[in-house]
This record gives sequence, C-alpha cells and structure tokens, in this order.
Amino acid sequence: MTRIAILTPTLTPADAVSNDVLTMRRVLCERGHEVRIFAENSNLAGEQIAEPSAALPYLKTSNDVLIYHHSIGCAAGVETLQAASCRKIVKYHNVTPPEFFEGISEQHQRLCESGRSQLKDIVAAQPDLFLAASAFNKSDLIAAGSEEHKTFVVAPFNQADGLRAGEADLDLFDTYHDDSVNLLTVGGVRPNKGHADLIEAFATYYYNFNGQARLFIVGAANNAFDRYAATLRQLIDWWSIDSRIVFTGEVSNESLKSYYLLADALLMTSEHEGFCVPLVEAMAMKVPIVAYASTAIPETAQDTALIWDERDPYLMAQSIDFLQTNEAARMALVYRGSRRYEENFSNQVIEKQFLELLDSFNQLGSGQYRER
Amino acid sequence: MQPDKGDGDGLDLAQLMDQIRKDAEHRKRNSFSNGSYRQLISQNFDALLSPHKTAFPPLKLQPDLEKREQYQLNDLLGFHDEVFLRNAYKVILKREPDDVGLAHFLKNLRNGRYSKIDVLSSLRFSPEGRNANVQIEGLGRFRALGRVYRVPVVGYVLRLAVAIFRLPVLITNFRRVESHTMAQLDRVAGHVNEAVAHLSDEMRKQARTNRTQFEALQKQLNELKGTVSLQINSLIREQEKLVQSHNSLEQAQSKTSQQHAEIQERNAAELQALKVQLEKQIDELIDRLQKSRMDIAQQESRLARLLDGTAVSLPVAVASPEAQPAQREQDHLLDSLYFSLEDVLRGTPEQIKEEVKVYLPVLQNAGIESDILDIGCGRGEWLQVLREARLQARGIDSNRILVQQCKDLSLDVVESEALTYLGSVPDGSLSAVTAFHFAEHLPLETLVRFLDEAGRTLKPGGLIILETPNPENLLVGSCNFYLDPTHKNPIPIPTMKLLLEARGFRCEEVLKLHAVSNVKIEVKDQLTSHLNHFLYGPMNYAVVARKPDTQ
Repeated sequence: MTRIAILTPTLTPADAVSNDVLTMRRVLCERGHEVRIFAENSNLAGEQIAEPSAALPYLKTSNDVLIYHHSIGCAAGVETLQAASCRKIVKYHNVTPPEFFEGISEQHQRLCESGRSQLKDIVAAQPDLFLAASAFNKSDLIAAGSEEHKTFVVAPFNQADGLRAGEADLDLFDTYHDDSVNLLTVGGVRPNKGHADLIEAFATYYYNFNGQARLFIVGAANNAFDRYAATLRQLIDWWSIDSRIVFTGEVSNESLKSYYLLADALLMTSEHEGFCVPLVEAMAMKVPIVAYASTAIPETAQDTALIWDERDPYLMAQSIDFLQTNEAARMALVYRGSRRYEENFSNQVIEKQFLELLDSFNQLGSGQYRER
Repeated sequence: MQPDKGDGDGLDLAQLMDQIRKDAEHRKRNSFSNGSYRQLISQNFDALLSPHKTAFPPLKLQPDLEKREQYQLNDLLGFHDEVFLRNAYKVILKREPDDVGLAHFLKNLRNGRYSKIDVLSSLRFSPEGRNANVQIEGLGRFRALGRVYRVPVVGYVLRLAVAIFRLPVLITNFRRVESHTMAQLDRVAGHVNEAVAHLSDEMRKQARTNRTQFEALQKQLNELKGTVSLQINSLIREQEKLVQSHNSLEQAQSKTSQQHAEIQERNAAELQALKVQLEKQIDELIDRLQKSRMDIAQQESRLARLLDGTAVSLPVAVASPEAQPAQREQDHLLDSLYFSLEDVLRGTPEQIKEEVKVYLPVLQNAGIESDILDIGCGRGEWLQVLREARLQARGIDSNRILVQQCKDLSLDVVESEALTYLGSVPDGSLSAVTAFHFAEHLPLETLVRFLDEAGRTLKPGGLIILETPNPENLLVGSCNFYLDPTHKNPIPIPTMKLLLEARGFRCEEVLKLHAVSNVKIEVKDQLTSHLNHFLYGPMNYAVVARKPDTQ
C-alpha cells in the first residue's frame, strides 16, 4: 500500500480533468492504496477536499506518491511539487493559450499565462513520470524539457462507459425527438471552443441544406465569459437562427445521454483541445463526428470522423448533409468510432495502461527511474 | 485528412472527403452569400471582443498606499475622505471597513466634528486596534495632547495657546493645501480635456468604421440584389421554357391519343368486317355440311329401299292379290276411334285453329306462299288457317273419316300414309312440310325415314315444322303423353334437334308453346320457380328447321 496525494487546481462536476482525477482515485483505491485529493477550488457535492497546503504534511515518506494534474496556472500546485520529497508524477492536460481570453477575462488570461510558464518550473521540479493526455500534449512537455523516456501518453479517464450504461432523460428526449436534424456540440461555453465557427457552420447548413435543423450547445456557461456569450448571441441574432439553437447550460448525465441519443452528428469546432473527451463520448454513443482539425482533435478521432483542415463552413455543412443522406458511410464511421472507443478509450483499457505504467514506475523506485 | 486504414468496412475516407469537398465547392458557388460577409463578421467579432484595448486610463488623484512594516502619521494623513478611511482600516485593523463604521467616520469627517487624528486615534486605541497593535509613529503624542484638551478650562486655554503658537504653521499648511488643491484641479481639467479629445477621436474612428461597414453592407446588398434579380430572371426563363415544353408535351399527347383512337376505331371496324365475313363463311360451311348429311341420308334411304325391295319382292310377288285390300281395310279399323279421341285429346277445332296461327308468320317471313304439305292434317284446322291467309297447301292423313271431314270443308286433302305419299312427290318440289303431333306416333326408324323423305322433297332453303308434346313438363312426360294410346315415345327437345341435324337440316328455332297459366305455385325462391317450370311449363314445342340451300 502506498500513500498517494492527487493534487489538482479545480474540482467541478462535468469537467474532463475532474473526471480523470476522480476515476484515478477510484482505480488507485481499488488497488489498495491510500489516496487523498487536494484542490484549490472544489464544488463537488458531498466531497470534503483538502487545500493544497495540506498535501505536504500528508506525504510523509519518500516512498509516497504525489500526482499533480496540470491544466491551468496553479502556484500552490507547482510549489508543492517543488517542495515534495516523495516520488512525483505529473499528468498534463494542456493549458489553453491565454490569447483566447484577451478582452474577455483578465483573470483567465493571467491564469493561463502562468499555467503555460509554469510548465518549465514543473519540469525543473524533476518529476519521476510525465503522463500526457495525448501525443499533442506530450510534444509540449518535451519542448519544455521533459525527458522522452519519462514521458508517456495516457488518455484521460472519462465517463463514456457511464453514459453508455446509464439512464436517459426520456422527457427531454421526447421534447426534441421530431423530424428535425439534431446537431450537437459538447463542451463549456469558453472562448477557445470556436463557437463562432460552429454557429456559422450551422447557419450554412440551415440555410443551404435543411431548414429543419437544430443545434444543441451543451456545456456550462461561466459568468467570467459573459462578454463571449453575449457576442455569440449577437452572432446568432445576425444569422436569425436563435429559434434553432439551444444553449442547454450544465446538464445532468441523464440529459447528456439524451442529447447524444438525439444527435444526428457531433460538431467539433474547438480551436484548442488537449484531448477532447466529447469525441470519445460520441464514439461510445455511436454518433458520427464532423470536426475541424485542431490541436489534439485529429489524433483522438483519427479515421472515425470527417475532419477538415480548413475552417470552411461549407465543408462542415456538406459533411452533415452527406451523413444524413449516406446511411452506409455513416454506419461505417459510427462503427469505426465505437471500435476505437472500445479498443483505446474505455476506462478499462485506460486503467490497464495507467496501472502498467505505474507498476513499472513502482518497481524501479523514484531514484532509479531518474537514473535510467 | 486521415487515410483509410482499410478497416474492412469498404469505406475510403479520403475519396469520400474529396467528394464532399467537391460538392461543398459546388454548393458554395451556387450560394447567394459569399465570402464578403465573413470578413465583416470577423471584424465585428474582434471589435466586440476587444474594446478594452482602447480604454482610456483612469484618473487617480490619490496615490496607492504603500505596504510597510511600520507607518508614520504623515503616511496616512496624506489621504483624504473615503480613501483615507479605507487605508486607515487596512493599516490599523488590517481589514476593509465595515459599512456602519465607514458611514459613521465619513459623516463626522465631512462635517468637521472629527479630525483625521481623531479617527486614527479611535481606530488605533479601540479594542480591535489594540489587539492588532500596529505602530504609527507620532500618533501617541497627539493622543496625550487630546487627553489634556478634554480637561475643563485648562484644556480650552491650552488649545487656544497651541493654536496661536501653531498659527504660522497653519498658514503655511493652508497655502500648501490651496496650491495642492489648485494643482489637483488642473490635473482634473487636463484629464477631462484629454478624455474629451480621446473620446472624440474614438468617436471619429467609430464613425469611420461604421461608415466602412455600412458601405460594405450596402455593396454586399447591391451584389445580392444583382444576384437575386439574375437568379429570378433565370428562374422566369426556366419557367417559361418549362411551360413551353409542357404545352408541346400536351399537344403531342393529345395527338397521340387521337391517333390511338383512330387506330382503335379502324381496328374495330376491320375486326367487325372480318367477323361478319367469318360468320358468313361458317354459316355456309354448316349449310354445306348439313347438305352433305342430307345427301348421305337420302342415299342411305334409297339404298335401304332398294335392299327392302329386293327382300320383299319375292313374298309380294307370291302374295295373293286378295290379301292386300283386306290389309288396307284393317289399317282403317281404328279411324273412327281416333276421330272420337281427337276432340278429347287435342281440343276443339276452334282452339286448335287459334293455336296453330303461331306458325303463319314463320312461313310468311320465309316468303313461302305455296307448295306446303301438312302431314297428318287431322280435322284440317291448319289448312284452314293457311287458306284464310291465301297460302296454297295440301294435307294428307291416313284417317279416312278425318280426310272426308276435310274434303267437306273443300280442303285439298289426300288420304295416304305419309311415307307412301312422300315417295310419290318429286325431289325439291315442296316449300314447306308441316307435321303437328305426328312424330310421336312413329317408331324411330320410320321417323328417320320420314325426315329423309321430307329432306328429299323440300326445295333447297325449304322449311320443316314439327310440333310434339314437351316432356320437359313432368305432367306431360309422365302422364298426359300416354293419354293417347297411339303415341309411341315422347321426344325431348334435344333429341328432336339431334335427329333433324343428323339428317341434314339446320335447326333455326324452337318454339315452346301452351304453358299452363292459371295454376302456378306462388314463387318464393329458386325451388318454387323450378317447380313452376317443371309442373306448369310449356306442354308442347315446335322445331323449325331448314333444308340447306347452299350448293
């Protein structure tokens, strides 16, 4: 049994990093380890989460393990990593480039700036193991100076299996189950998610192909990004498609399942993704994917989706229409996605991969690992 | 984007995406909206997102409080009003002021009841202030002085003395405040002017941007107008073309259907003509067939007679001449009996006359006026009807009494056996042979011979009319037929027709006669209807047949 501290900047519901942290705790607990989570901010119901400052006193021996999840600027996290004398693992989820928040939220701009600059400090703290959520993230770590033989790609734990097995909100399903073509995007309403391109692509489809189309924008809104949301509203007004777009805000797992069941396609126009969990959820739920190639998106989706290098709304719209009119190709893509999910991204597969890495790390011990 | 890895699902992603790209390009070219609006939107979007970049820096009349370990009294006294209070709280109590405290001190500061020293003292030496224990150099001195000021009379005198003593300092302070205030006012005025200039500049810029955007929009609108009107024109042209094609199609269709109707009509006419011709040929063929049959029948009967003649010639030759008259007399033994039966069995002469009139139109329609032979003419009712209609006819009967009765009526009647008489008539000399209630008296062989003889003696196209009881009526078949003891066998209609056809005649008509009209069962269903037919149906029938006239 090892004492393990998992340290993360923020724990919130319906958040990719938080899902990874919580499932990681479950997996490690099931292995008989003593695991505790530390976070700067937490609003998880029924969870008493300790402050990051409590992590160092908790980690008593050099055999203990600190797993730090890096996703945004977190001085306390980096300081703890630097000060800890136990074995250290860094899980890197990537940090949104601060430019996206310029003129929208100074606080986020600052946090992301520090998050990116802290990458060098993190590498300097000489962790024993780097886990990157994607090859795209790994290249960031290597660029910041992490050593190739200590840096591995492990996809984040996700809730796609929960979505597959869980109940759906049937009332919600009935409300929208009609003749309309339902399109879906999943992810917080944040400035890096490319909603302007999404709205334009949807409008192009709506005006050129199908006047019955509907777009669900599923994801929590954040007061800090009010200016961004207001701009999106203006854009929607400009296109006169406000009656065809539904901003759902944060939703329950049951509702999320209903949206995936309703969806004829998942549209992903995000401009920065360290992994992109919604792609995995769509694969698991057998929803075809149309996306713009950006950051980790092509790597995660691979040949299961229609992915475009150019951000051209006509390509998006034509792709949606193609999926609507070509059943055989749609089914082939959907089954490729489902297979990719089962072979690469189910929690079971990720758990095996994660534990294998951890085992090799345990056998070698922190010091030996460093010298290898 | 990604090459197909050949997952065995037959999907070539690269090829498929090439196709989508081509289709998208095509769609884009044919779409009203092109790229120009995108530029507009992105400008708008940038402008919407980044007004902060051009924001004017705020004016600060009081500097920020510097963080220090220890403060001097003058560090705090340099601030004024609310800023002074907030800083005093921050320094002395290490917190933001509470709303009540802030309002209380602000009010007393503004109405002159408290000096800044008073505020600082009461904060510093409050229980919370003592607890925080922040050192402010110089504050203690003023506090001690403050205590003396509160002593009656002495305090007042001391305050007055201090005031007079500090007058030059106060004047200097006043001047300093005055010039500071003026300097601050100048700064405010400068800032305002700068802000106004900046805003005007911004406004100008904004107006320029608005104008550019407006012009771009107007340009786009004009482009759209042009495109739309072009599209509308081409749609109108297409519609006209469609209408034209539609009309020509309709014309072609009506022409086609007209031709179709004509062809159908022509075909129908040709078919009808063919049918008539075929029917005519079939009739001719049937006539020829019947003629051949009749010829054969007559040849047969001639042959039979020839053979009979050979067979009986010897006994006839040896028979005694006396025996022949005796035989003839024996033949007439029943004449009177039959005469008496005639009234009972057949009906009164008036009834019979009325009944047989039905055959008159048959002869008239066939254009027959003479050469009519009535076989078994009985009391001569039919001969009378014919005479009245001015048709020339002769009757024969073997009953001597009946023949005499006919002769009394001046009818042309010969007493003879039918076959004997017919044997004396030349070939093809009669127009019609009639025989009412005659056939049922003959054995089959004799009936056949009679038919053959009639066939021989009739002209081509001549008629034979045979009336006989109808055994379809069960009462007739089972009982009434046998009322006449000279009857042999009832002859059903099909048998009669068969015999006639077999001996070369063509049956033209069957007349069913003398149905019982007054004793019918009430018709309720099919059964009662059948019963009526079989019990009360026609009691007699007649077959009208013709000797074929085709050679």
